[in-house]
Amino acid sequence: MIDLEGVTKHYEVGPVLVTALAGIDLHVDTGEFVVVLGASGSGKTTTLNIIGALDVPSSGKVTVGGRDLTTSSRSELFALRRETVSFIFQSFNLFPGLTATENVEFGMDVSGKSGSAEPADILDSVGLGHRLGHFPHELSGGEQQRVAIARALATGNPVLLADEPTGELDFKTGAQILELLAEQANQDRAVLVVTHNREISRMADRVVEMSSGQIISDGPPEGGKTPLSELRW
Amino acid sequence: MWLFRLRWSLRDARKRWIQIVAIGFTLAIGIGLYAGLSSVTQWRLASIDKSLEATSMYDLRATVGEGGDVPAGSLARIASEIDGIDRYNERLLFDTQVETVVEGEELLVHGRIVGMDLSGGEPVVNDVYLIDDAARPVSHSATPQVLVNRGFSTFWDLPASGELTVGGDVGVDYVGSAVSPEFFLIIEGNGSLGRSNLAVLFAPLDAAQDISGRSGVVNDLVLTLEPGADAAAVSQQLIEAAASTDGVLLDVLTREATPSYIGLTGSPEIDQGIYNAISLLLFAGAAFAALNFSARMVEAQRREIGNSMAIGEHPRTIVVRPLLIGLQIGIIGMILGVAVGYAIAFQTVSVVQEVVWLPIFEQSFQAGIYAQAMALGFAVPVLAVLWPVLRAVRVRPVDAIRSSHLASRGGSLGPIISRIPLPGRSLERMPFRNLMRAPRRTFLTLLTFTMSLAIMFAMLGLGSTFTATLDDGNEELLGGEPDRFTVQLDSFYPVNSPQVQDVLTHPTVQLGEPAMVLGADVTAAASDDTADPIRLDLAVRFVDFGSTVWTPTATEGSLSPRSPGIVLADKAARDLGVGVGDDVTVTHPALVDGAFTYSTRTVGVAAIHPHPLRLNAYMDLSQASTWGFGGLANIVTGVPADGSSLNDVKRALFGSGTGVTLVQGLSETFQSLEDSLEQSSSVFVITRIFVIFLVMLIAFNTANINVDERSRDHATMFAYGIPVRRVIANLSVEGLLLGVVAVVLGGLFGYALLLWMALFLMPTAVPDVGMIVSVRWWEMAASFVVALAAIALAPMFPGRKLKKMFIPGQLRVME
Repeated sequence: MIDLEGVTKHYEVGPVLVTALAGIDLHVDTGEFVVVLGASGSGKTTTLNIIGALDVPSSGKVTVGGRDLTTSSRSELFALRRETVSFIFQSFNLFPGLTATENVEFGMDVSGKSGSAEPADILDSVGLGHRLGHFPHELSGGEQQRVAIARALATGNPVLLADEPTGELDFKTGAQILELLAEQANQDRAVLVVTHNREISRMADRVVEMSSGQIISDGPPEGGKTPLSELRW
Repeated sequence: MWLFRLRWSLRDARKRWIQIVAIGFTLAIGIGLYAGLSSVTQWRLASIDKSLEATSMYDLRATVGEGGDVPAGSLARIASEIDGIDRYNERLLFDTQVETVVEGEELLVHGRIVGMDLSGGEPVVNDVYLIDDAARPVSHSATPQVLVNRGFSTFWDLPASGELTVGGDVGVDYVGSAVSPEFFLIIEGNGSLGRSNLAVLFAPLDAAQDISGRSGVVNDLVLTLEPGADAAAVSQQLIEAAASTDGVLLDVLTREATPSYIGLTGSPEIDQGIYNAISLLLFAGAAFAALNFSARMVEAQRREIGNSMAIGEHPRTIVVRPLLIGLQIGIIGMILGVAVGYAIAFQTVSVVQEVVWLPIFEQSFQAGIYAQAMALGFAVPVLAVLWPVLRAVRVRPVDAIRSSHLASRGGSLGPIISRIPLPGRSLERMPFRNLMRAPRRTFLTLLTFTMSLAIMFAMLGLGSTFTATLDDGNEELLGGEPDRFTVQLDSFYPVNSPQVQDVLTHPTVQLGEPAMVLGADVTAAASDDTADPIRLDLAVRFVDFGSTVWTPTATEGSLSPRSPGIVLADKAARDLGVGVGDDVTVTHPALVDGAFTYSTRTVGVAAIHPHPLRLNAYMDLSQASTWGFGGLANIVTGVPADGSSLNDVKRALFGSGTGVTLVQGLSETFQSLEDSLEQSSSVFVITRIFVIFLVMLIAFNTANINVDERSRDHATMFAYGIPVRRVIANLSVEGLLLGVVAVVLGGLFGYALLLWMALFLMPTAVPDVGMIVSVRWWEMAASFVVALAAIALAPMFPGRKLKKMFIPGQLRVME
């Protein structure tokens, strides 16, 4: 589903050339729940942005859903974001003018899946069946993130990309969110979660650890996959 | 600390300089229009005073009545014997026809020759001011020399000097152009003569006498009074002395009662009422816009303010940075405002000068007005930034730094409105939702658009109202004959006299009808004697109500041949407060035993006619006998015979030597009115351009700030694959929604404003005219489409910003 071959990314910050990614290779299949772990500046968010076609690599090849992003046109990249990948952001990024239901409808509308499911059912599946008509500012942080997940799920896209999805949440709420994301992998989606929280990585199928723009390890979590109930942060 | 803050705010300004300049410019248009339009009157009044002083306009003008004259020197002798008179000059004035060729086309217009002292020796009353150092006409030259009134020469773009034909066959040389205070603004012939169709020629007295064939006579005296002299007493003494010594009736006119003086001096102040209404509304619109935009710009920094509070900064110092942004906007607004104001005032005065040219024109800087406008303009952005800052510092720091707190909750109304269910897909609903979630912001933006569009609507409406008023007047008078004309005779003649019959039977004339026009003073008969009743000077035309050629249209009541009633213009009836069946008191000239006198009688109002000019009143020709003018006529109306043009008629009749003083197409009847309206409305043309510009600026600012405020929303949309064009389309739809509502509201308020200006303000500026409010819908629709297009296309400008957005950066940005 996701293939990165020799991907590099350089930024020019004034006269300085900063290397965000130094030639990484990564393959993620559908049904995988992968946590990309790393400290700030390790290149994990850049990786996520490149997979999500929000950013372009300086070199290397990126294939998502069978589409080579490095040779795709701007409109093809937009189409990929509509049809293949869906984002979940640390700060939720819900549309403040739309209700929870409408935010979910947005996901369905952009991917052309309107009518395929009821937004209320999707919100119900994330435990928000009672908050349908609420606006983002009327919801707690955890609820907002669940709406964001529902919006991403509503697209029906096979790749879910989450950037620090629990970063603004308390442990209990964060755990609920992770559980939701893990469930998506069981539904044949490739789920990529970016975090700096090592504890979270213990519940992943696979942990990709990054440092200084390189993948320094890639495999099952140390000590094996841990149930959510045993995690603490 | 202050320097540090200033540096920081300048950095902010550099980042947002387009926005700051755009808001400043929005404000500048408001300041400029306010200051510029307010200055116009000051300039004009000062210039008028100085121009009148430089040319020594008369305090009193005495004219020998009924076309008579007296030997030269007799009026001067009378004046010399009356106390209180400072200076005086005799003149000979008479009407004629002036003919010339302009760009290969024959021009044949009514003319007036003013015979006066043009020697340039002793200063004279009502002197001429020579344009471009024109030569003075020489007395006793072989071909009479004259000066042409500047209004006429510029209207027709005459060469600096040339030849004219007057009275049908007398050639004169004009040696230049000049103006005289009596003709700075031409309001003659009951409003039918203006600068385009009245050629005033200033001639040496002897030349005027030669041209008219009235050697050694004068018929007019202009004089100035000594300080403190009683004008009424001097007038009375003049009248009595002339009656006893020369046996003539003098008509004495004060400077203040002279129509051109009234039009000249009254108009600027009345115009100012219109300017004030427009400028205040536009200033309010621009100020609201600046207030809204400045506040929104600062609101976008609320998280930064929260951060400052979180690190313990005192609210007093937190206020400084946003306040400096407000100051920057205010300063830009003030500087550009002065430039805009000066440009507006200069342009306005230039246009006014086209119609009313003054020899002395002083465009002084009205410091007080500008200071007032600048102070207001400066206060607006400062207040605008204070409000959101004060709101922000009241929030708990812990809330302020939370990103969710930044989402507008729309006060108490927002959540209620936001819950209104909407059809369509989520993306289609988004523009509506964005407007609904912040009603205060939406309302303010809407208000700014509405105010601007209302003014644009009102100004366009005034233009079409003027046109409709003139067109309706023409239509009423012409009765389907575009070349219908009136022939004015130099006296009253029996209808079977050669003078009248020559006109009626002239080969160039058909459908001729004799008629009579007499000036009359009309009041409502029921008016209380103790009060000051409204008194109108009307021109009563005696026409045959049974005519098959032309009769006035009766919109109320009916025209009955041989009935004694008077037919009043709708405006006159309204001003007098009378209707059909009511009585009016008419004081009119009467011919008793061959002598002219004045008589007062009560006459019933038989009908109301729709002509917009209130001075036109009608009575059946049979009623002329009750005034002592039975069987007489002083005008003849008709249409050119087949194969003859109006110019043919003019030339043939004026040169026929049968007492014809004026042949005029009835379509020219509104010339001076057109001039007055042009003078009053000239400012609208300039203001309209600025209004459209203001709408565009508001649209640009709205779109720009929307893009800045919603950068995270837009980044999220891009992350979900929504193309840039769709985001721009959504912004355009949002703008269009506002625009459509603003057009509807602007149309309604604009119409109300138009009614107010046309029915309340204009009647004071042009009291003789009953405005016919009219709106050219296609013109309005076209303007609104342009405004809507500007609003809808405005998001294209920040479109580049959207295209170049670094999406990951915005997705993580909390602001």
